[in-house]
Amino acid sequence: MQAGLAASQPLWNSMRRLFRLDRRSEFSFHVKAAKSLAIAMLVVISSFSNSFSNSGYCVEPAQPGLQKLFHLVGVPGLRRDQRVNLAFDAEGLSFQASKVQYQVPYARIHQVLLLNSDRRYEGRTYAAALATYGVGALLILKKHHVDTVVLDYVNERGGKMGIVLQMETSQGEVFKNLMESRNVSVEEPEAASDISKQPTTTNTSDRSKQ
Amino acid sequence: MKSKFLSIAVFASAFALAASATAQQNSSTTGGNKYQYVQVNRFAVEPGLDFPPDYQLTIDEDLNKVLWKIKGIKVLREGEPLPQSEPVLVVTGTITKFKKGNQAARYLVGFGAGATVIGAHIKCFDAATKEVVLERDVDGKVIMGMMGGKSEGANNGLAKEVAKDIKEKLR
Repeated sequence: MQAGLAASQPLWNSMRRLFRLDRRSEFSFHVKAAKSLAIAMLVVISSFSNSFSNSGYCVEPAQPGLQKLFHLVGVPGLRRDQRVNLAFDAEGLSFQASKVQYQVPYARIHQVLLLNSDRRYEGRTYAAALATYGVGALLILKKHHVDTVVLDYVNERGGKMGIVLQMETSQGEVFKNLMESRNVSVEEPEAASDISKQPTTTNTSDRSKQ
Repeated sequence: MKSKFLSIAVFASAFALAASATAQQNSSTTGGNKYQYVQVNRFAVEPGLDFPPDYQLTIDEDLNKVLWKIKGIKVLREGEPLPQSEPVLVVTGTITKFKKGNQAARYLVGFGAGATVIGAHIKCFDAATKEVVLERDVDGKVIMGMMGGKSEGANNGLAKEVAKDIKEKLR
């Protein structure tokens, strides 16, 4: 026991020197090293907490979904180009924005089209134009390829309604897979027309070149 | 005491007159209208015209949204059951012209370059008698706007023009 105390004596002394615990037993940070140590500890703890929340430690959302899609038209209470989250519930598609929640049951969906399109980001172009004395306005020439979803459904009285959304191309593929897993077929008219337009000989020659 | 009663009576009668005048004015905006119900059918596309399906749906949604804002009109969707006792105005249309346009050209060049144009022929008729009430050509254009203006704005422009024509006809 005494041997253990003697071994811990140099460590205790260094701690006392570091934090000045000898006077009135006050826990005051007088040494720069102690402050930097404390800051480093805080950074480590915060980074661990972030990694926990991002990894499997956090509670996974109950329903799969897509985040930050562009709403073009159709969801009541939402403006054009407002961001909306889409969740695939058990009964239907659930559109969620800050103050709006709207659901479309899968049974009422008649047709879903997935189209290739593009959009321009005016906000970024405007900011670039301001920052570069007008030269950044050329950013308007840049097109961002997106997938457009055209959702055709009927309301409870049988009236035809529709929703148009735009999403990143990677999200489009996820959307298609999730819809088909819920027995709702997604049509891609452009892809079909492209395949029908391409002669088979060209395809084989292209492949042989590659 | 007598003068007090007199002044209250004068105020009360003035208030009653003003209220009745307001009510009369309100009824004149909706009362002259034969059609309380308007059914909007989805616009067809002229054969051979390459018109994107998302634009077609957007016109329908925008038109419904704009018509909802008109006082005294109840908007029905295509496929919804029509009220038996009330006259219903059915709005149909065909997209006859479409120029996709280019937002970058609108912004960088201007002077009408890159304009998006959607033209349509609309027909409004009575659901029961099939009598044509309104028939005309309308269009929606985006020539300029913030950063050249979004091409989808042409749908909204067309919807607003259709709604304006219907409102004028029903007045």
